[in-house]
Amino acid sequence: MRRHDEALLWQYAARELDAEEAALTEHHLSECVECRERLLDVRQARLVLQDAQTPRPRVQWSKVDQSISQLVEDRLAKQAKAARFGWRLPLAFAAVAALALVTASGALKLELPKLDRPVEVALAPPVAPVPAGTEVERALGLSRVGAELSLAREGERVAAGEVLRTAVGGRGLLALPDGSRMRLAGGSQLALTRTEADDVALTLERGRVGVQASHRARRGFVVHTNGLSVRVVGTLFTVSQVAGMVEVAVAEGKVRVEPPEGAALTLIGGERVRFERGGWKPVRGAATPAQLAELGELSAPPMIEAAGTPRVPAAGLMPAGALARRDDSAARNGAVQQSSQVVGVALTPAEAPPEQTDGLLPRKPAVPQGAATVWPNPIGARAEAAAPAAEVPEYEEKASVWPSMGGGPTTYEPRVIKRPAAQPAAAPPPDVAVQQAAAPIAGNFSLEIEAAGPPTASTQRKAEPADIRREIEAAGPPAGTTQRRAAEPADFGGWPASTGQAPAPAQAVEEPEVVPLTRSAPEPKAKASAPPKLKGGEPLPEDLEALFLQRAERGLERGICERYLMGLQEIAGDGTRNERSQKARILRARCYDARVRPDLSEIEYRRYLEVWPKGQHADEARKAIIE
Amino acid sequence: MSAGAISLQQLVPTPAPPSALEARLLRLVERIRNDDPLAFEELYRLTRDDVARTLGHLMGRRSDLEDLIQETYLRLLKAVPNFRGESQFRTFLYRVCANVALMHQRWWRRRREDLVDELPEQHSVDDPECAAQAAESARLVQQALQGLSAKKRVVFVYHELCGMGPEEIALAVDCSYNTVRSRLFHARLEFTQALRELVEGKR
Repeated sequence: MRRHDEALLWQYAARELDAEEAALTEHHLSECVECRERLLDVRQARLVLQDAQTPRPRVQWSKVDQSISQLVEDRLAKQAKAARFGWRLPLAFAAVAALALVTASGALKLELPKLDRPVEVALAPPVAPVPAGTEVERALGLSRVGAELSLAREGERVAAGEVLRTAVGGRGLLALPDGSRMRLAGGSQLALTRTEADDVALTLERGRVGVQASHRARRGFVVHTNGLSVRVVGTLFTVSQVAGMVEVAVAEGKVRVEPPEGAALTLIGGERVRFERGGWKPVRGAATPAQLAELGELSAPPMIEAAGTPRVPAAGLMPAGALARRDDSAARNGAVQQSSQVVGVALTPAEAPPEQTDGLLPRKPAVPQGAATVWPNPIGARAEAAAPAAEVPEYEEKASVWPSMGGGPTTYEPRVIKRPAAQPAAAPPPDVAVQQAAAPIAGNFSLEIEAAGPPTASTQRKAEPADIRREIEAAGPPAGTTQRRAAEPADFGGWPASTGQAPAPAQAVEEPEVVPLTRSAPEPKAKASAPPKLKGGEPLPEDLEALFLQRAERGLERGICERYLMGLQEIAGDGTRNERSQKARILRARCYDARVRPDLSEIEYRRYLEVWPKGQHADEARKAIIE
Repeated sequence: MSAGAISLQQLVPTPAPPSALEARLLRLVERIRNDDPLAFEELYRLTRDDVARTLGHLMGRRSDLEDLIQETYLRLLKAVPNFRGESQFRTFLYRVCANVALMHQRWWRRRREDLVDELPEQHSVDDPECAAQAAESARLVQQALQGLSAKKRVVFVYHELCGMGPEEIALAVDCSYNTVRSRLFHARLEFTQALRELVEGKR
């Protein structure tokens, strides 16, 4: 270096020079005062730049999120429209084909919908195994709360008894074993209380679920939320619950809404009813265009798989479970799409309630009957209904976790899983032993259905919403999943599936520290200090923010928490995410504590107490301030 | 020795971004190509913070940052079919960001006198020392960057604030390696000078 060269100084400061040049520069610096001063300037500039890297600009994400969501929704809507149009013709052919098949096989007596008397077909036990659980058709930020694995993937099956949750921006499209489909909107949590081919019960813990119920004859299809029950009569509807406020909107068909207090209501297509928090006074209105639009996504035919195999639309024509399922096994994944464009052929199961015997449900059911008929919810059937939950897929975590942010690639290998019918060709062969083990359960299942008999458990039915309500009260407005799940085993007694449902490493199940709205229970808090670790890594958080919190916590353990302070501040400052904000605030406090900045940590603790005087870390904060 | 004599290897090499994230993004890109809007939404979720930060650095902290982000993703959605994997997806994303920034540069230059006052307080809720310091640094950097021409600014920001290597920047701004290097050196000089003036002006 023979002359003053600031660019070179910068390279020197950035260690971009090789040894020889660096030595030359150092030599020059030792002689040149001016360059030494310049170097100081450069170093200062670099420091300032370094500091300026971290802060994130404040962005009103809700605004951007919304516009992106809108863009996506528009595209989806366009696709759905195109697809619906495209499907019509093949569907008509498929209808003919399916009818022909049924007649030829002679296995079932089929009557065309024109005829006024429904056919009798033996319903239980099913000829083929019931497709185990609910298939995830589309998943975005959809996770399984109770399972060892938390992210639900497309094509995966979710057993009865599991709880599904969507991240705030996520969503899930699911095909139920009865041919119904549902769409779980973002920020929702739903328990698949019972998912059988002829009986479905869902519990919406928060958020919104849209349902396209198949027209198959069934004992019941009910969505419980906040003590209220919504019963289905072949239909397209949505139920939402936000902090105790429940809203039900119907796009097609008819549902019966049973609030815990007051008279039951019947809603038909285009109607909506809302119950404000704290009371059960119904406010009726018309379904909003947004609700209808959302349901439009459900009524669209299922998306075409990446492999290029469309889901069997013909399956939607199948009159009864047996045939549909047979078709299923031929078709991959067994998604029985009971298209609403197809007239369902009602069956008369031996023990079906009277309401169903004349249930030839046309597409837009005039459904004159049974509006007042309350379907008692056969709780007794619940236990065996959930029996397939014993087959909850067990996953072995292979490598690291969420692939972003430095995690390694993730591969989960299903060890045990799907029934043969549900087995996509590419999936690994199912574990034989487990299938055998599953067989008695299936037997049990059909047996108990018969034993459960006609719906007589009306007292139990009444008790159920009350249970849920109790839990909700106990948990405070967003119902705590952990509590709900804790309550279930008691509810079901010593039913073997519960063990299958909560797989052995129980501590890995909840991952509370990354889960908003499940933290009201004290138990997760205990875990927060010792994050659950799976064999190969750690649990999957549901989104990047949760991941960030998790990392921040780990960073704190490792003494490298500084870099997370900014992000934590952003999360903590956003009061809308109560649980996460709490967490973020307390992590900031602990971080300052760890860095021996009592002044700053005290500020954080005080801020925590200001906002959440009764928060789960309030004791810690108080203690810290007193010290 | 002049700056021009420095060989390619002597600049900071392009740091390898997390390959798993890259792989995930590439899968999403593939799905977007197959007209899967949900993949796009997922891509957005994965990259939005990065985009916001990059645009923040490139354009200064502006009140319409949300619109710029939105525009970036609209462009990205249109551009994704043209992405042939010739670079990392991250580079491609930065390229889109740079284009958005350059498009708005003229407008920005016209308004930059007002902008200084408009800079929203970044950590108004928070006054711990380091946060305040970081915010102050960000403000200084933004002010110092305003003197730079748009093209130099992009290169400088990508190298010094986003940690990209010159080769990657060359791909992202679609120019030669030597151009990147020359812009970077000039930008460094101008930036140091501007910063010096700012700090001295404060004293």
